[in-house]
Amino acid sequence: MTEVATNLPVDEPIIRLDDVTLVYDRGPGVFDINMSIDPGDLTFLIGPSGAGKSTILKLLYMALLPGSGEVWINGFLTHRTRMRQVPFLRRTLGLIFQDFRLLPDRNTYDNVALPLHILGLPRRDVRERVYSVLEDVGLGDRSQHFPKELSGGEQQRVAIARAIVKNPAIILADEPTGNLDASTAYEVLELLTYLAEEHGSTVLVATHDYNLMARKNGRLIEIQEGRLVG
Amino acid sequence: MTGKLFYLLGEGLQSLWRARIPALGSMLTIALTLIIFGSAYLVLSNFDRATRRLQSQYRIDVFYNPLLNNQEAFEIYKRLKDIEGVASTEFISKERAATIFKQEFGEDVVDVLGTNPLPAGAVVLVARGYRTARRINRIADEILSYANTTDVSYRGELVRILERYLQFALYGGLIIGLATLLGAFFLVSNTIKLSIYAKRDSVDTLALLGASRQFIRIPFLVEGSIQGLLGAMLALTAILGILDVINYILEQFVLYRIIRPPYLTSGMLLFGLALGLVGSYRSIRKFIRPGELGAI
Repeated sequence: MTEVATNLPVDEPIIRLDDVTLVYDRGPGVFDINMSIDPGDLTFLIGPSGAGKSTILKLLYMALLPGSGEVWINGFLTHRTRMRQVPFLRRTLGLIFQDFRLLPDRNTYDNVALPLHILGLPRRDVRERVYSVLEDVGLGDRSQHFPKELSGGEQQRVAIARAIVKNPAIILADEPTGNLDASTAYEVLELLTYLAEEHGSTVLVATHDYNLMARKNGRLIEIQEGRLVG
Repeated sequence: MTGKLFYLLGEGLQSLWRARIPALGSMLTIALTLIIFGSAYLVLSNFDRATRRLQSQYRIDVFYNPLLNNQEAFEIYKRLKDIEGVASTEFISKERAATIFKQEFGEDVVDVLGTNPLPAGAVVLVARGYRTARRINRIADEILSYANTTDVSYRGELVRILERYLQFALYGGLIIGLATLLGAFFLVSNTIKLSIYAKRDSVDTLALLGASRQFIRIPFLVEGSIQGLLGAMLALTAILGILDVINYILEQFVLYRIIRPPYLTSGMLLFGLALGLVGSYRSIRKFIRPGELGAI
């Protein structure tokens, strides 16, 4: 595996939010968020539904911009980053979603290969990396299956493989176990944290599942009604 | 870079295959548009060719007063060269006129009548840039205005009728062509729009994975271009097939073939390509805006 794609010195925080506030037109958002995460950390952002976890993640991958304050992630500062630079930031991130967001008309191999094609890697390298990561997530024999032919747990493993295949500096997982039963959820979380550790990625998991998080060692950031509470 | 390009081309092809039913609709519309355009071009260029052929043979026969002798007629004839639009002139003496008469009617007019009553005359060839009905009429009028010029003869009416039909066909073809072009343009646009709409989640996901605008857009452009090219090929096959049939039928009756105008193949392929490209580009610009990428 290649080195993690980080733009920062190792001793600097890889994620930092300074006094970030974002108010939605239709209602609350997040308020006065201050937090930082060091490279290689496993962090859980925990809180009930609607607390603002997804908003923070969206701010991090710049699908949203803060109303005030600054978001700093892997060398990209929100107010200095132009729209056309956003794809460059996202290429250093591995994003995992509750609804998996797999392309329904591509098989497992093609879904996992997508980030590598975006990076413009030669076909041979793509093949090597995809098959290797599919083995890592235990889906070596499912490479030709389409998402609808896979179980929820398998689909999330494909999503994890897709996130991890490019050795991202940061993995942002938004309720990655939200659609899975308890035992599958734990397996998926195990896999995600193990692979992230092996790849040296920083991981931020947003979840509302206190039980799940309690079974893993990691830093905890709690959010309620748009404000950090611990 | 080349690998990425091949990947995107492949994506475009696959995308076309996945949406093959709506794509077939827009391909047929493009084909229909190009059949109308191609046929109009075919008819117009053949019409134009026929008109030019007539115009190139065009000449004005001039007849002088039969009472003038050759010398007197020649004095008037000399002024013909000064008329604007006259390419060349030839003097026809009374004796030459008699010879031509004998060639055409088999009778020696001097033998029959004991004298030569035929007038001296001239043949005027019109210069290339003046071979239109209006200009030839003007030259004929000027020739006729000279003293002792009794008559001029030319096929001006035929040229005028042909020109009128040519113009009519040109404007008609243009109007019909533009209308179908507009229709095809919107249909291609709509097909791609539907295709993008159906894939809006995938487009969002691609943006979240760090795909650039080009990476997202190129497959749609490839899809549109291929639709255009396939539509053009379909239209070409139809037109050339019909042309062959018409020529086969014509050969049974007349010594005339409808020619395939130059640039018909390349023009139609380019036109189809442009139609597909512009149609898809328009939808992409409307549906994939930079500010909306990944804003889920």
